[in-house]
Amino acid sequence: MEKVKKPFDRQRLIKEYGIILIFAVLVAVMTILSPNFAQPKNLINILKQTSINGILSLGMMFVIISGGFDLSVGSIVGVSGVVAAYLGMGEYPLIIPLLACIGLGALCGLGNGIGISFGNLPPFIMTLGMMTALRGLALVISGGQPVTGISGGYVNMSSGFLFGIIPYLAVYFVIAIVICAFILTKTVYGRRIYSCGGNMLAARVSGINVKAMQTSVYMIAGIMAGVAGFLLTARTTVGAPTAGEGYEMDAITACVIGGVSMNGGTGKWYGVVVGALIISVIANGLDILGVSSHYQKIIKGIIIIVAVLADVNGKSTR
Amino acid sequence: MKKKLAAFLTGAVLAVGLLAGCSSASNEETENKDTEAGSGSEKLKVAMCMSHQTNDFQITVTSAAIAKGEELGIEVVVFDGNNDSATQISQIESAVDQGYDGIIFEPINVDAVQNIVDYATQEGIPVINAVGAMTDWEDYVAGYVGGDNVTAGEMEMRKVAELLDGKGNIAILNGPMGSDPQIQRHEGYDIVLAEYPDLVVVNEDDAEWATDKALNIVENWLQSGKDIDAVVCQNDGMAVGAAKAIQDAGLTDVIVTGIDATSDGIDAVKSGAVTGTVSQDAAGQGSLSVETIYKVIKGETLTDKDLRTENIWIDSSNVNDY
Repeated sequence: MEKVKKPFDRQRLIKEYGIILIFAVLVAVMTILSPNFAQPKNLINILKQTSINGILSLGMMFVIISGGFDLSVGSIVGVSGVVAAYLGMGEYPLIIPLLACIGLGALCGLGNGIGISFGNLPPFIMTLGMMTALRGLALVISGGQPVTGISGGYVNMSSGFLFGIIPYLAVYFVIAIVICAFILTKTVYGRRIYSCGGNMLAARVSGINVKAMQTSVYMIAGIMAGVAGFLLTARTTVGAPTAGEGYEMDAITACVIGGVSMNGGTGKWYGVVVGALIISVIANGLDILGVSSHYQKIIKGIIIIVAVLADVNGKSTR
Repeated sequence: MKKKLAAFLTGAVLAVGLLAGCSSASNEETENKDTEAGSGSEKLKVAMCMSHQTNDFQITVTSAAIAKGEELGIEVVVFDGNNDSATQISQIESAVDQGYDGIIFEPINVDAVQNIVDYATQEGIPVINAVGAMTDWEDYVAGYVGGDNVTAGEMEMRKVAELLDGKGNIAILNGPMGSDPQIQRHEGYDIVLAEYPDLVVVNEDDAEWATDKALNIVENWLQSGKDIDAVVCQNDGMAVGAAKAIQDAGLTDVIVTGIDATSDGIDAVKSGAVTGTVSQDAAGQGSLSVETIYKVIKGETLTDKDLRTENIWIDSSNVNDY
């Protein structure tokens, strides 16, 4: 969507930075309610817990901005997690399971992309099919059982620390943010994703290969999901075929509350990062307070609705 | 050019589809031949309708059942109900209509299977309830074979109480709240907790049987500043997650326990991450249910209709036997 320069506009300001405000309020409330929340150790903990969903959300962001939708990422996490567990038992260097996960994710994304762009399938249907089939595949590969016995080096990929303080998981998240933010804001490719999502017809007329663009965003989401699966297995030490169930919803939630419009064409990378952080902060804060996880679902649900409410109303006043 | 490519792709997809169709058709044929051969030698056929086939416990139960079936000359066919009650009812229905000699089932919803079990009984097909008991099973089925969730929960909490000398802070990770095993295992916990007033439950939450959820929750609990002496989990998957969180936090003296003795749990007990787990003898539940249905089909009367497998506490002292 084209950016129109406007004079100072409170509505727009709230829409653009409202999510950061909500995040600040949430952190403030948690800090007041629990003295342990703002401890440096816990803040690092939150970064660590955001990492996997954050990486998935960044991939999802590309798809949603381009005007699409991807339900299959949770299942890609499951399949790649199982494959990574089999390959990560110490027989091969760790780059092998990582590359296998990336390749698998890219392949699944390619399937999604071809079905949607060349087969003209609605993204919801194509990725729903992919989600279901891949979950089955994960169960077939693993025989329905969690795969155990990954090597110590592999476990250390997630539980280790950089300079003794920063968890590797947080480091990967930051690397993913930097790469995604760069692609989205500094490259022609990134700008084309926005134009595809804003108005696909106009994008096609202006000479953008829309089908290739669409296919590529699903591949990005798939690759990110493959990496997330690789990391989830390292983190939980088992490759569970049921792992990642519902993760697609958390990724979509992070995008939506981060201000990425489901209509495509708009959305900022930092919104998505904050969106993913908000989900972790709610879980972390309420766990520390000893509140049942059932309440987390209620709060998450309310925040999704409120965030989109702000988004929709922001548009109607334009 | 693009149209040609699209046409080619469509053609290729169709061809693959046809091939897949053919191969599955030929599979069916061979299956049919098998059954014909089976009925020729009057091999008994038993349908085993399970809630799902997506974890170690379930696979262990069905593999043991199939193995026992081979031993007794029974063909055990497993139906996966996908955790959907309606699917399970249709599966039991088709098993009756296809003339199976007996049905073993694990109810997905303990209150939804009564009608269908009645239907099977009316058609003269013996039914055994396994793994989880349906409501009022005594009135509907020939017998029940399963573990006892209440005593399993009781054994787990009693071991923890003994390890802590009856005093300490406990955190509990539940399965999905309101599911039968969750309620029953918690009932077992409550029996022991009532005996030890100095065991304080400081944290409790629902981690939905999942390793990753348990990991996050326990990580957060450890940040809350409360001392936790033991994390008591309702299954091994969650125990593995809890143990990882404790390990990552650099703690070594926190007790972590689970139930089910699945492969991930056994591995964790071997490595010392998890203190112990309660085995409900999944394999025993599978093989005993086949043995029982065999007796019923042969017309023997069961002396005991309520057959429970034994709970076994597995810790570092005996884990190498598993």
